[in-house]
Amino acid sequence: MAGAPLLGVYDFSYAPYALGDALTWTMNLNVAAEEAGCDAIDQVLVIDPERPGNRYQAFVNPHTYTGIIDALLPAFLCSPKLRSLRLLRDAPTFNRLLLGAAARRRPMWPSLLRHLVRRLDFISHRRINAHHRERGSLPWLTAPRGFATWAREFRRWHCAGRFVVAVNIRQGALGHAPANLFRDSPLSEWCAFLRQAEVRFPDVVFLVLGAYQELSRELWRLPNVLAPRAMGLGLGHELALVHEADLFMGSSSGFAAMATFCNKPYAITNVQHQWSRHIGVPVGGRHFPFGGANQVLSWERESASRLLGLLEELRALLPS
Amino acid sequence: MSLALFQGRLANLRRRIVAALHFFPFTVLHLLIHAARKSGGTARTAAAADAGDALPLRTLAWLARLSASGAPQPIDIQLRLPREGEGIGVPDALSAMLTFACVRSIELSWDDRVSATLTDELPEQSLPAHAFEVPVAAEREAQTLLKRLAGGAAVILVHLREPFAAARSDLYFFQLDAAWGFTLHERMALVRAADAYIGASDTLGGTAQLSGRPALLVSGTPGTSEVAAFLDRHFGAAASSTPARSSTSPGS
Repeated sequence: MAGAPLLGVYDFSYAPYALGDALTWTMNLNVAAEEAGCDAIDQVLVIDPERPGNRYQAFVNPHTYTGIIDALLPAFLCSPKLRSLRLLRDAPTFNRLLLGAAARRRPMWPSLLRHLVRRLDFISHRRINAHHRERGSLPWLTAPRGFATWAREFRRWHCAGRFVVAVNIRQGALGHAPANLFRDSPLSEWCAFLRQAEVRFPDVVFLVLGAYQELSRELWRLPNVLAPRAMGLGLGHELALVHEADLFMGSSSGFAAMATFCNKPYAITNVQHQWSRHIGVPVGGRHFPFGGANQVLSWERESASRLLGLLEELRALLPS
Repeated sequence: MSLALFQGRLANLRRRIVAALHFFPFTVLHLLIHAARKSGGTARTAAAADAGDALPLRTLAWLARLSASGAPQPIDIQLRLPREGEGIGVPDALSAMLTFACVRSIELSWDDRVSATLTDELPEQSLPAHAFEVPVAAEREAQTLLKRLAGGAAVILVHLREPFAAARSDLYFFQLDAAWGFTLHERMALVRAADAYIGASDTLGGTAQLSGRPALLVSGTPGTSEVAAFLDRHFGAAASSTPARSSTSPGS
């Protein structure tokens, strides 16, 4: 018999407002639920409106947090075990809920102690890798709840008969809250790659994902590119399109986490060397411990020729 | 120093101390103190039979009615949704919920079977400005954009599927288009920043009504005389014969 639903807690007073971290947390919840024998997950997101930020993101304050959480919420809809999602804007209410769960010995992640010491491992793949080592499989993420059919229809309507590559080019410098700009990818190289790909791979359509502010006009006008944000779509749609695409190519960032944890073929570029210890892959390693031959990590900064090489390599491994 | 000022400073100092002590083992104290406190407010549950495009307006209408009803605040809301079927309206429904400051918690839960209780019915009166707020960044961008495009002219926000021929030269017609890439909050902020609204009776139409903006709500394309009468009623008769000014979509 399945156990009680797992309680997943994401407290924004110590966990970041970030797509990749939200998806890694969701993946960890899936793993924790499977290990605890739970067939459902109740997710609780906690924000104290008076102090909504955390030490990593000073730009989050009582006046800005609603816009920031609003842009991230679809990321919390990607667990197939999701039974409920609760957003709490009141610390006392959350603490009562937490104490009640602890009193009933309800399985939760992070554990009550981890929560109280405010140490959530929201970055590393430690637990995910260990689970894969032990069981040889992982409980993958899915498209956000209720978006899968829409994504199939989108593909049929806009990309019929074509090989679909979801692309994300990190352009943090153009975003609302620029941070860690050393992780941004060189836009000119990606533009050159997409222009050359139009000639070399005429059957491929690229869906360029990411915030509207980060969308380059040069990319927008390319005939082999579609930009979902410029079609009035949002993050939920984009995550569903990553799930529906044939391949993901993009910077090591939030959308790459989606491709990684929904088990798509991918080429993740510009992987930061400092990330090596968090993911359990030595610098230069080509695959995550749970990755297959068509799931490639590239630790170099992108160049058009390198990107073409990756597309060529992965296209040959994938059916048309 | 006045007593009120002193009390304000004391409360501020207390908040700063509590914030500074937000680490273990003080987090245990927080947990116990919070858990012992009683909380007032209201809990409300509703259900939607489908979570598609209609969900955001229905959610907006539900919360607007709750907000106008005088129910004790803050409000904890639970929305039950069907497990199967479309769910593309969920993110925008969450966006709509976040605009209500009185909402303390939002819970979405998915069940195999739900009986719908949500409707499109908005309250008859508009809401006070503080009851219903879009994020400040969206407000700022909307105000700035309309100022840059229209200067001091009155702006009519147009939200129609078909192209709309601007009818008056003394007004600025801002035509929403998907290619602008606006989020729901940004679109709601534009409706609130504009002086009137012509368009669909959806979340944006609801926003115009709740914000007390003159609104011509239509299901298709409005007739020329209908638009002219609406504009004359709210902005007086046309004064000049210079060409009408209107935005064009960035994708066009």
